[in-house]
Amino acid sequence: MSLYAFIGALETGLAFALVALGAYLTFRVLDFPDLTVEGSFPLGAAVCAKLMVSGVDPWTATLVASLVGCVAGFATAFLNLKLRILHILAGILTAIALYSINLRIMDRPNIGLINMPTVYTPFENLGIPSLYAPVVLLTIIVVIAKILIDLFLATGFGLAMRAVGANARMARANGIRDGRMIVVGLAIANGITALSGALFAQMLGAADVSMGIGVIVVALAGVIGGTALMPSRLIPMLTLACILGSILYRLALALALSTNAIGLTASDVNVVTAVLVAIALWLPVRNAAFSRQPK
Amino acid sequence: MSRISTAIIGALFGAALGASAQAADAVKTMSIITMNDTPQLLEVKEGLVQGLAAHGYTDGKNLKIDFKSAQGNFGTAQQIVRQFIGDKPDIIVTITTPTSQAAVAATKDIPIIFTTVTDPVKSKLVTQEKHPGGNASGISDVVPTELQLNLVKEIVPNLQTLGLVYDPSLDNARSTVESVKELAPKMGFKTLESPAMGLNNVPAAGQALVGKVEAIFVPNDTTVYGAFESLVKVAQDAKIPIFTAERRSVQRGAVATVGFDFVDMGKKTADMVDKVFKGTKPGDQDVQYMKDIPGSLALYVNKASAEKMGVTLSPTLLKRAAQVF
Amino acid sequence: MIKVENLGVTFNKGTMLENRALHGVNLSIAAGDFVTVIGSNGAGKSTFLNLLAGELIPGTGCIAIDGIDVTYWPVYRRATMLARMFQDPRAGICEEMSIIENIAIAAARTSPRGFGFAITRQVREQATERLAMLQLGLEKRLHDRVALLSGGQRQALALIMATLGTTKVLLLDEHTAALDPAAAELVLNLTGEIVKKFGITTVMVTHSMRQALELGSRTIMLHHGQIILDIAGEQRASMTIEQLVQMFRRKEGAEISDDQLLLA
Repeated sequence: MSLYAFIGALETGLAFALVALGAYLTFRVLDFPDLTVEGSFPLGAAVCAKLMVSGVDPWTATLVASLVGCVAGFATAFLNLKLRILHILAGILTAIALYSINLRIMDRPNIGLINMPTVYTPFENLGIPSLYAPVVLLTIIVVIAKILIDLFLATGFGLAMRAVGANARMARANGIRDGRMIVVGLAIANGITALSGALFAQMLGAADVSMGIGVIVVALAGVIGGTALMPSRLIPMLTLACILGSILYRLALALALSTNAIGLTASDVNVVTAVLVAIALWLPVRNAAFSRQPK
Repeated sequence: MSRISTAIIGALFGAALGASAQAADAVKTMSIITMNDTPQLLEVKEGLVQGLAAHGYTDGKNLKIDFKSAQGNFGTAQQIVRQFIGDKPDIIVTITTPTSQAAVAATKDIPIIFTTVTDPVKSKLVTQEKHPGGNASGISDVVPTELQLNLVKEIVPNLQTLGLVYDPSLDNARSTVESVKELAPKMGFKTLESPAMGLNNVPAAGQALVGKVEAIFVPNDTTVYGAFESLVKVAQDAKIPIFTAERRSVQRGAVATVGFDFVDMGKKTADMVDKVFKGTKPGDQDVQYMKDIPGSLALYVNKASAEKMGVTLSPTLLKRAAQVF
Repeated sequence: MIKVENLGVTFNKGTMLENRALHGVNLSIAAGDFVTVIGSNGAGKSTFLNLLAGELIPGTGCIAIDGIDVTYWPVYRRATMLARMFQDPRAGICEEMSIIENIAIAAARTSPRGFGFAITRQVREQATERLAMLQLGLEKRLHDRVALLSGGQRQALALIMATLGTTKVLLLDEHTAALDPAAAELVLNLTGEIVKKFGITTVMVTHSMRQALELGSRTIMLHHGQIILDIAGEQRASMTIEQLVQMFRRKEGAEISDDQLLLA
C-alpha cells in the first residue's frame, strides 16, 4: 500500500467516522435503527455545496449544512413518534424524500467544488501539503465530536437517553420522556452525518445526489468492526472503537484494492459489509428480549 | 580493484540502470476509474483498450492497465483515486463525472483524461474548453439534441407531445432533458417528463406516458439502459416509438438515433491518451465533444422494432442509415 | 394521598371482546397507608395498578394523587410522585448498565434531569447509604452490571430505586411472584421496612392471600372489576385466610376457583 493509499484510507475513514458515531448513538444507545443517514449525508453535501457556489464561506456553509441535517432527524422522529411508523421505515421514508429534496436544493444532480476555497484551504495555507490537510482538520473535528458525545452521555440527560435505548418502559417509569430523547438523539446523529457529508464533498471536489448510497453500511461496518475488536463497557472506549473501526474498514478496503492478486474486488467488500450490517441488526434482538416495547 | 575493472563495472551498472529506465519508459501505465460498471461504461473502456491497441499499445506488453470500479460508492471512489495517485501512473482515465471530479481535485500533477462527462466546464473539471491548461482534459458525451429531435420529427410527423424517460440523479441525462425541453417549443411540440428513480421504476415510467405521447425519447442514461428491454416492451405494446441517443440501444429495440457509439467514444478517448503518451499535456488538448468529432455520428435504425411500434420507415431513410438492425 | 372516584375502563368497547375491566371503583387511601390488593385472575388488579401508574387512561372517573388530578397524566409525568415495581426482575432495571448508573437514573426521577454529570459524589453517597440497608453487599459492587445480579438482588435494587427522592407512592405489582421463596421473603421484609422508614404510601397487588393479610394495614379484594371487600383495623388483624374466603363467598355467592389464591 502506498502512502497515498494509506492517507486515502485515513481521510475517508475519519470523514465516515462521524457517521459511525451517529450510528452508534442511534443503533446502539437509542436502539433505534436509523436509516435516515442515506439521505442526510448527501443532504449535508448538497446544502454545503449550494451555499458555497452561492458565495457563502465554507465554514458557514458547513455549519448550516449540519443544522439542516438535524432537521432530517426531526422528520424521522416525527414519523416514528407521531405517525407511529416503525423506526426502520421512518428512516427509509425520510431518506427517500431527501433524495428528491437534495435534487431540488442543488437544482441539478451534481455540483462541482474544485478550485474553490474549502475548509481545508486554511490548513494548506499554513504550509501543510494538500495531501495531508484533510486528515489534519478531520482528526481535530472527529476528536472534538467524540469528546462532546462522551461528555453528553455522562450527563443526566445522556444517561436518560441510554436508559430509553436499554429499557424504554423503565425509563418512562423513571420520569424520562422517551419521545423527547428519540428526537434529540436522531437530531444529533443526523446533524453529525450531514456535517460528514459536507466535509466529504469538499474533500472529494463535488456534491452528488447519489452520495448517500451505501453510507449506512459503511458506518455500521465501522461500529461493528470497531466494537468487536475493542469490546468494552466504557463509553469513551466504545466511541473510540467506532472511530478506529471506521478507519480500519477503509484500510482493509485499501488493501483489497491494491492487491488484485488476493481476488478481493470492490464488489466483494460490499457483500462483507452487508453481512456486518446483518449482524448489527441481529445482536440487539438476540440480547434484549424484554426491553423491546412497541414504540 | 584496478581502474579498468571499476570502469567496466561502472559502465555495466550504468547500462543496467539505463536499460531498466528505458524498460520503464517502454511500458506505459494507465489507471482507469469508473463510478459504475454498467455495460455502457464498460463499452467505453473496451473502446479505450482497442483504440490504444491500434496506436501500438498492447495491454500486457507495453501497456499496464489498472481498472477499478467504485461500485457506485463515493467513499470507495475517493480511496481509489488516492491509490492511483500513489501508484504514479503515466495517465489516469476517469469515466463519468464524479470520478473525474475526484481525480481532478486530488492531483495537479498526473495527467488526467476524462470521458463520458457531459459538461466539463460546469462540473468544474476545466475552466475553459479550448486549451484548458492544467492537467486535465477529455471528451464530453453531450448529445446533439437538435439533430435527434429533427430525426424524431421526421419519423413521427404528427408529434405533439414527446415523452422523456430518464433518471433525474444522472447529470448527463438531466442535461440532455433540459436541452430537449428548451428546443421543443421552437420545433413545435410539447414535452412530458417521466422520471425513473431506479432500474425497477423504468417500465412504470414508460407506462405513465401511454396515451399521452406520440413518441418517447431516452437520453444517454445508464439507469434506463439497464432496464431498456422492459421499456421497449411497454412501448411496443402501446405502439409508441422510442428514440435514443446512441447506437447499442437501437440494436436493443429503439427505433432510431443519430448518435454515437460508446465503444467509439472509448476509441476517441484513446486518441487523446495517445497524444499524452507522445508528449502533449492534457492541458494543451482542447476538450472534445463526441458529437462534433467528424465521423462519430451516424444514423442507426431498427426496422423490426419500428414496425412493432407502429412506425414505417421510409426507404430514403433506410438508405441513409449507416446500419439497419 | 390517593383518591379514586368512579374509576372505570372498558377494553375493546363495542366489539365481541368487550371487557369491562374496571367499573365504579371508589377508593381513598391515606398517606402512609399500606394497602394490599387481591383478586382472582381477570379481577382487574393489574388494570387498577396500570391506571394508577398512567399506563392506561380510564374511560370514566378520575384519579388524584396528593391532591393533584393525574387522571390523564402520562407515565413519565406521574413519576415525580409515584414509583412502580414490576413482577419481572428485568423490567425495573437496565441490566446492561451498572448498579450506580441505575440508581442515578432513579435518583433523577423526582428532580429535573440536568446537564451536569449523572454520577456525582452525592449520588454515590446516597447509593452506598441506601444499598447498605439491604444488607446484600450491593453497595460494594456499584460498578457491576445489573445482569450479574440474581432475581432477588435485582428486585431489592429496584426497591431502593423506587423509594428514592420525594417518592410519595409506591405501586407493587406482584413484585415477589417471580422469585424463589427465600428471595421473596427477603424482598417482602425489606419492602415493609423501607416503606415504613420513608413513610411511603404503598399499594401492593399480590396473588397470595397470606401476603395480603400479613403485610400492610388494609386489604382490598377485587372481583370482576369491582371492589367487593375492603377490610382494615381490628377486623383485618384477627382475620384468617379461611375467614377471608368465607367473607368472599358471602359477598359474591360464587366459588373462588383460584387455587393459588387459597393455598399461598
